[in-house]
Amino acid sequence: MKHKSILMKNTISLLLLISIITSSFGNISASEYEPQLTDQLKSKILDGIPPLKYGENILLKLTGNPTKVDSLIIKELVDTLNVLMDQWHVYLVKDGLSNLSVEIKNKNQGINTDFIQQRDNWVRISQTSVVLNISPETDYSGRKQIIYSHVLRSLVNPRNNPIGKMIFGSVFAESSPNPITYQPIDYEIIKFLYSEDYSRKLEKKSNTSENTVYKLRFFIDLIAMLGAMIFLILISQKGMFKKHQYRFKSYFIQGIFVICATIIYLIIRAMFSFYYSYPNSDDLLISYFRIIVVIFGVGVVSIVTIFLIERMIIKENKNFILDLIVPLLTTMFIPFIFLLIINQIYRVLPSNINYQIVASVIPFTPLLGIARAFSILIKKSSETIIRKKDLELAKLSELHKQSELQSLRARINPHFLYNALNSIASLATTDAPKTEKMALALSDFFKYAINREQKQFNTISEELNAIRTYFEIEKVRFGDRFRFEIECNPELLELQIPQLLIQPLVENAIKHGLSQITGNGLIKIVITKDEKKLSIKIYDNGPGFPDGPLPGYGIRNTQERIALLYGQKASINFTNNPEKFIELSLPNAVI
Amino acid sequence: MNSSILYRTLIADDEQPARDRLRKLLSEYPDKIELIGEAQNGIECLEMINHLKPDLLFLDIQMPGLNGFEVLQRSVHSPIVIFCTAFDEFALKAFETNSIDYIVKPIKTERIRMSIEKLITLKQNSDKNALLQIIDNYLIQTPKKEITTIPVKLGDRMLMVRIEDIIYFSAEDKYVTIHNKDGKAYLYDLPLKSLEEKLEEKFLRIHRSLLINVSRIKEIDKHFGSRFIIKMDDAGQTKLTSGRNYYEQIKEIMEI
Repeated sequence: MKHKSILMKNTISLLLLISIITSSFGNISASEYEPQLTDQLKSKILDGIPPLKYGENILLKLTGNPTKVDSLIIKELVDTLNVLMDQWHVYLVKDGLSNLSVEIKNKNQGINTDFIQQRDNWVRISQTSVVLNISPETDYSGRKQIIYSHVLRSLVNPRNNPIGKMIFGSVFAESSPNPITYQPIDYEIIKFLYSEDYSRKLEKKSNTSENTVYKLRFFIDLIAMLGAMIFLILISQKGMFKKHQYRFKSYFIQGIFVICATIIYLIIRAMFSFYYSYPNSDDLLISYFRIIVVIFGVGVVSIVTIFLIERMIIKENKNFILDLIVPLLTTMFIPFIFLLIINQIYRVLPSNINYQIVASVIPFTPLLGIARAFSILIKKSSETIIRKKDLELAKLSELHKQSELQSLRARINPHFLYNALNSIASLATTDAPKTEKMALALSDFFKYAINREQKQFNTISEELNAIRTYFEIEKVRFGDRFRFEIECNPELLELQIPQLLIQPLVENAIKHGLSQITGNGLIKIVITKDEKKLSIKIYDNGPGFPDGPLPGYGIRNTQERIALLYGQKASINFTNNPEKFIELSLPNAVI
Repeated sequence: MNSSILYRTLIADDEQPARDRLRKLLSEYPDKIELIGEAQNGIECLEMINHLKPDLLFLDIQMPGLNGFEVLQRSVHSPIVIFCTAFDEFALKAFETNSIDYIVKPIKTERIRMSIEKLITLKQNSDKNALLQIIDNYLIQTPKKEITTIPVKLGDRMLMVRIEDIIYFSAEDKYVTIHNKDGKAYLYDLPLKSLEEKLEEKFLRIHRSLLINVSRIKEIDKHFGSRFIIKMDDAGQTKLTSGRNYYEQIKEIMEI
């Protein structure tokens, strides 16, 4: 119990620490990078799905019925663009091949646009054609606004990138607002996308984590990993991973818990991701949901595969090394391979799934293999301990049974019999009448003790007679050293008490009391009765009852017997002060 | 060669008929046994050994005052000893040595004759230390009377708690709590230390304040920092953590 709560405490404080570090980290990054909207935009662009742009020089062809003003506007725009771009150039072409055609129709229909963009194998824009309906009344600035906006827009395909959504009214909004107006930020975006810097950064993005967002992600991953681990630890505390058996059921149950841990990892990650408003939350949510389904599927397939492989290799083989290495390798590589395949599929296929999330789960699997091998190692060693304990316990319970048998046998005390018979042998040649008396007393006593009728109860008077007989025998052995007294109201003599209840206590008083002293011994039995109870006291003047634990079965058997017969109503009590006696209290009502 | 030797003999037994019988049986050998006294208890016996310095002693083991072993441990003079007792025969095998013999009650004429004939081979004045050594060994080998019960006061009554039903003892301040197999707990006023001494075979100290029943251990698991987590076989599946300082002891006793 204790260590569990300590574990919990430690984990919670660790989590707190991590969250503090993470949040402070977030603050620093915000203050450093904040006010520059464009910088922020750039990081967004880099973070999400990269927008498409032309992969070669842009050949712009102006067709339709452009006015002179339109030609001037286009020329001006081409100059502006050439200043903005360092990677590709924009050329204005009269005829021949073009990959961006702008057709202007002087129609009196306000602003009307046809926009067709062709993409080249999902990598870049290959062809755009724009048809603009501009009414002849539109003035210079109006015409410029329309032409600029649509030409700028045709240079970038935002795909699912949020840049368009970021700035209201930007020409890169996904569904173009009408009328659209270009803004300085649109220039910035063009400039950034068509810069060598962008290509470099795009490259960098795929293999470094210098970006602050990546650093944050590292921490989020860490927290999520911790969450998953805590889950696994809690589950294993419940004994879920106790059994190490090559059975499908135990594989499946344990495997499901590991999958659950992975899903918890993903959920924690997703929660943090939303908190830090990662790109395109809606898509991310769908992504995560799909990935959880995928992970579940991969997990189940992995469990089955691992089970089949391990059963094939290990079977009932008890080779320790094999037992350890095989689970290590299978757990490490099978989910790993499956995830890798899935990841590659997502990388190639156009889809909403963010394959990075799948990739983030992959490093889990080697850890899992190591963890499993480790837990098998621990379990193996504790299993051997348990097996040893089982053997010992079996031995002990055997001994226990023997001692129980012995305690039963001890009820006819063999020493008493041997000593009595020795006395008889000795008396036989010297004192015939005494010998006869002794032999008969012995016979009487054993008749009572053996109790062939299996009587549970007998009268007090019968019991006292048996005790007197017993005492007669002992008296022959010990001579005049002992005295024996009975105080009992004659009214009580016919009451029923358990057979042979008092005699063992008298025998005890002689064995542990009187026979230990050299002076005159006295045993006194006092039987009284009041409204509540019948009390039987046995006094002797031998050494007192020992302090603390008691040896032997006499008193214990007596107590267990009366507890069995009377329950809580009967009790046994002994004391050494002021006089040594042991008292039996039996309920009055039953008698 | 020495068959004509006359042994000055002492009988020690607290039972009159037993003494009578022995005396009668020994009177058959007047050329070998000279009866010089009879002791009725251990104290008398010790005095008579030291005063009369007998060659031969017939000694009962269970006697008031001092028992037979205690008499021998304290006596200055060491005669040849023949134990006469109602003890089980197997329990006395240890005493079948050069200096000691034993006769089991009831005594048979035949057995006495054998002992008398054997006397010649029993050496007197044999090393007393050897005798004491045998007694010590015997007392160690024969377990002290097995502790079976702990009497616990419950108000005006007493409960005899079976030792085998006790899962463990725990100590808080001055009190010891007995934890029973059915989850009941009783207060007890003997210190853990003395319980440990009295119950040493069956119970194991695993912590400053914990004494557990060895036969009630279900599982032992290793824990960090030289500890064990010991799961007990009771209703509540109690888990106990052992103390760092008891690591070696537990390892040794549990053979792990």
